[in-house]
Amino acid sequence: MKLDLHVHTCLSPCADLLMVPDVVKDFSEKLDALGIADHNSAKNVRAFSRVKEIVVPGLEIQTVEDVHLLCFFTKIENALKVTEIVYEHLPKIRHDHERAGYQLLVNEKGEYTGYEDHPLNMPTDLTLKEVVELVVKNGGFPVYAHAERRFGVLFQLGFFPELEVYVAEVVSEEGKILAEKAGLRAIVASDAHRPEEIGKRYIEISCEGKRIEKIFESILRGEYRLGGVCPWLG
Amino acid sequence: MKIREIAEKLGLKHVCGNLDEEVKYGFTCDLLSEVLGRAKPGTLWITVQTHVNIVAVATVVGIKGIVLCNGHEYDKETVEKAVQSGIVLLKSEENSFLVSGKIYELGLR
Repeated sequence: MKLDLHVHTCLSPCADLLMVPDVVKDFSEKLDALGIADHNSAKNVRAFSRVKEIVVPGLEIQTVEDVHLLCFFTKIENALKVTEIVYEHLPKIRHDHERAGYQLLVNEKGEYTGYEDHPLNMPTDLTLKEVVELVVKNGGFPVYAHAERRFGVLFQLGFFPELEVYVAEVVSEEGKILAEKAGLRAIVASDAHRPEEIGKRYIEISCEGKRIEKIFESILRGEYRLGGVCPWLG
Repeated sequence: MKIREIAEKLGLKHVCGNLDEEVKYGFTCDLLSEVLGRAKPGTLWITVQTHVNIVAVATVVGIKGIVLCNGHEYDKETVEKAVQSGIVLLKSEENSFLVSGKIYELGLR
């Protein structure tokens, strides 16, 4: 099963407005499963839940240390519950869509249903530890986003702290080596903000069945291989 | 004080923005939430962060200019957004401590 776990939608202010369900569906034909993870919000996940047979609900939370943490759930409800808590911890300012990028809510047909006015491009006031605890408490599965790049845990902190996070998305061979040295499973994903980026990197999992729990069990056991544009794989 | 005066006296590289903007305060920090919560309008911000979100933070706070230290490069997208938002971007090869000290000596507080 080919899975690209890190895909943004038109809800993320930095993503292309074309990241609507039909377009994401068209551009992910070669994949079997997608993870939808917008910045600090899972409010568009439901609209995208039928673009693939398997869509993993998620969000990418920005901690007070400016670390991006991907948080995945088996149920949309849990992702939405965590979203509400995240919203309470974002700065109390109204997002400027014109200047900082549109944050658009859509329905399954890709029709814009509204603006999200919480500033999703801003950090929460929650520490990385607090976010990990929040996610785990709500049955979620945390993954360090682009660990060795800007807003990644290694870039921001310089090391992998001892937390209940066992998987890291990496973007380079160096990141892969560092993650594995720290005892983490290293995966890749596209972090797509534009349609043509979807599936640029993905993992191919040997996984029985289609339940999201099983997918994460397979990742934890290392039963996957990296795919897509990973030049360091040779 | 005009940003121009600071840029010239410190030999900062000008990336974009109007150097005639006036600043009264300096703020040195790499954590966006701290800057959001504590920096004042009319500030020159000294940091090593390069991501486009620094422009969003600057816009929200009313920061007039950013000095990027340690020889880092701004992302292309950051420069584009700064041009749109009218935020002055400057660069220095020196570290944040040295840059902050020199700016303090010039009179920003």
